[in-house]
Amino acid sequence: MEVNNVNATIETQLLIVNEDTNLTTIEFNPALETIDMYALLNELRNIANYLEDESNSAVVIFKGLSAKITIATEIPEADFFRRWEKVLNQLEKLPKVLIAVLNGACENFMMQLALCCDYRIATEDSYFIANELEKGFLPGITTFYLTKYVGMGLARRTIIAGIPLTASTAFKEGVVDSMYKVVELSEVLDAFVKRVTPKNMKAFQLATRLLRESYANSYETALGHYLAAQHKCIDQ
Amino acid sequence: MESQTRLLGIGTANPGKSYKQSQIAEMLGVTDSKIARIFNNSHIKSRNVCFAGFDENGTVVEESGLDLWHKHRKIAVETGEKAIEEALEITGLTVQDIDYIACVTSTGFLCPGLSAHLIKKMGFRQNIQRIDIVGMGCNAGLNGMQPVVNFCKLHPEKFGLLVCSEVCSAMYVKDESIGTAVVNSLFGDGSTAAVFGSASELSEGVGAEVLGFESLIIPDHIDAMRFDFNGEKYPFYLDRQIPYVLGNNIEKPVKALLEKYGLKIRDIDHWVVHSGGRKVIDSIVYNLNISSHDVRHTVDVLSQYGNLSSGAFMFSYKRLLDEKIAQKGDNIFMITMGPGTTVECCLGKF
Repeated sequence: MEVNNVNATIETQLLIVNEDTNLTTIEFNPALETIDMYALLNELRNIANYLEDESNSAVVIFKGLSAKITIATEIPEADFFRRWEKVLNQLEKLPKVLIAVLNGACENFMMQLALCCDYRIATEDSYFIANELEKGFLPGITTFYLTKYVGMGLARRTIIAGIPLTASTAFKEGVVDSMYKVVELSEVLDAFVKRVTPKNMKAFQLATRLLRESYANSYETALGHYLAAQHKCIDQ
Repeated sequence: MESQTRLLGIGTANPGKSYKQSQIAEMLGVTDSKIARIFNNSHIKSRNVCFAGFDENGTVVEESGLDLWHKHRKIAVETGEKAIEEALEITGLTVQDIDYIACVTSTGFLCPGLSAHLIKKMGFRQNIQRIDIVGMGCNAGLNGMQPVVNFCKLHPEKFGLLVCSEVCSAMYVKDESIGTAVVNSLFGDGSTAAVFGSASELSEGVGAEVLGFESLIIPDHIDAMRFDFNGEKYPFYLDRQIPYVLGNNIEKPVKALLEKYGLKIRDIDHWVVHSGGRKVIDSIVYNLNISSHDVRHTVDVLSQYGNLSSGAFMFSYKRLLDEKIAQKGDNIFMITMGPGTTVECCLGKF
C-alpha cells in the first residue's frame, strides 16, 4: 500500500483509497460485482498496516460496504477467521475515528467490518444481514457487538433467524448514528466528521476501549482498567 | 549457521496446600476490614502457601527469621526438584543430560546456592556448569533464561536448564500495616523448570525458538520494590504507583526488541506476561494496547496461584503450550517486571 502523499488517491484490486490531509476514505470498488473473501482479508490487512504505520489522518471513512462477498464453497479453515478477527481488532485499535457509510445491504463480513467502526451512517433503505449461520460458520464479533447494542432479543432475531436489521431500527437502537439521503451524503458526512473528530485522540482511543469492554467486566475489573487507562491518558 | 535454541519443555510445581484467598486472610488473623478488603479485591482466588502450623484458633503460628530461612531452603529444593522432574520427563532427558543449570530465587539467601543443593539431591553431573541468580525479584526468570540460552547457542549439542524456585511464604511478615497486607495478599509459592536445547529431534512443536532479549532498568524508581530488614525478617515494600510506572515505561523495551527483528506489536501472536498483580497487568495491557485475551494465561495464573515471583511467567507459558494453538512461525513475546525497577523482555518464534 503506497498512499503516503497528502491528497493522493490509489486504486488496488478492491479498494479506492483517498488520503486527504486529515481524512482517509476507503471505498470498495463499485465496479466489482463480488469480492473474494480471501482478497478482502489481504487488502484489509494491507490498509490496516498502512493506516497504523504511515497515515496521519484522524478520521477513516469506509464506503461501498454493500459489496457482496464471495464465500468459498468449502468453509474456510479456522486460521482464516483468526486472521480476519486480528485485522478487525487492529482496525478498531487504531488511534483514528472509523466511520462506515452504508447504502443498501450490508452483509456478513461487511457487517462485521461496519460494527468494528466507531460510527455508522446509513440511508433509510439500508439494512444489515447476518447470514453467516446459513453458510455454516459463525458471524465473528457480530455476536459480541450487536448484542450489546440491541439486546438479546433483536440480536437473536438478526443473527440466529437471519432477519434483516433495518437502518431505522438500527438507528433507534444506537447501531446507526446518523441517517442520510443519498443526494445529501457529502454535506451530512462533512458535518458528521466535524462533530466526531476528537480533540484528544489518546483520550478518544482509551475511552472507546473502556466502552467496548464495559459490558464484559465486573465493577472491580472495570475500575482497574479505568485507572490504568487514566494513567496512560494523562501521562505526557 | 547459528543454532536454533528452543524451549523444549516446562515443568511446574507448587508446594504445600492450595488455600482460598479468604482462608489465608483468616489464617493470618486478619480482622481489620480495610485489610480484609485488600485480600478480597486482589483478583486472586487461591494460592499455595507453606505455613509452619496453626494455633488453637486456626491462626498461623509466628515463625522466626531462622525458621523462614530453613523453610525456604527445604521447600525451594523440594519444589524445584518436582518441577525439574516434570520438565525432564516431557523432554525425555535425564539429569545426566543437563550441561548447564541456572537457578533463580529471591525469597531466601543460600550459600552454597540453590543449584548446588539441587545437584546434590538429584544427581546432576559433577561437571555441570551453573549460575545462581539471587535477589533480582520477579523479573529474574528472564535474567536467568539469558545465560541458559547463550550457553545453548554456543553449544548446540548441549542442554540447559532454568529453575525458578520461590517460597514467598518464607518472606511473610505479620503486622497490621497496609503494605504488609498487600504483600501477604499477593504472593504464593511455586517453582518452574524449563529445558532449553537445539537438538532437532526434540525441537519440533515444543516451545519457541528464543530470538533475543531486551532490558530496561528505571533507576529513579530503585526503591519502589525492595526488601527491607527489620532486625529479624525482610518485609517487602511495594510502592502503590509501581503498576503505572511500569505501564508508562513498558513500550520502550518492547518496541526496541521488536524493531531489532523488524516487527510491530501487531505481529505478536502470543503474550506471556508476568502475573505481577491485577493493576500491573491492566497497566501493561492498556499501555501496549493488547487485549485481555492476550493475557488470559497471565490473569488465570494470578487467579489460581497469586504472584509466584520469578517463575510466574513460565506457568503462563506452559498453559500456552498446553493449549496447542501456537502455529509454526507464530511470534511470542515474554515480559517480566520487578525491582530495580526493571522490565525484561524476550522474543521468540515457534
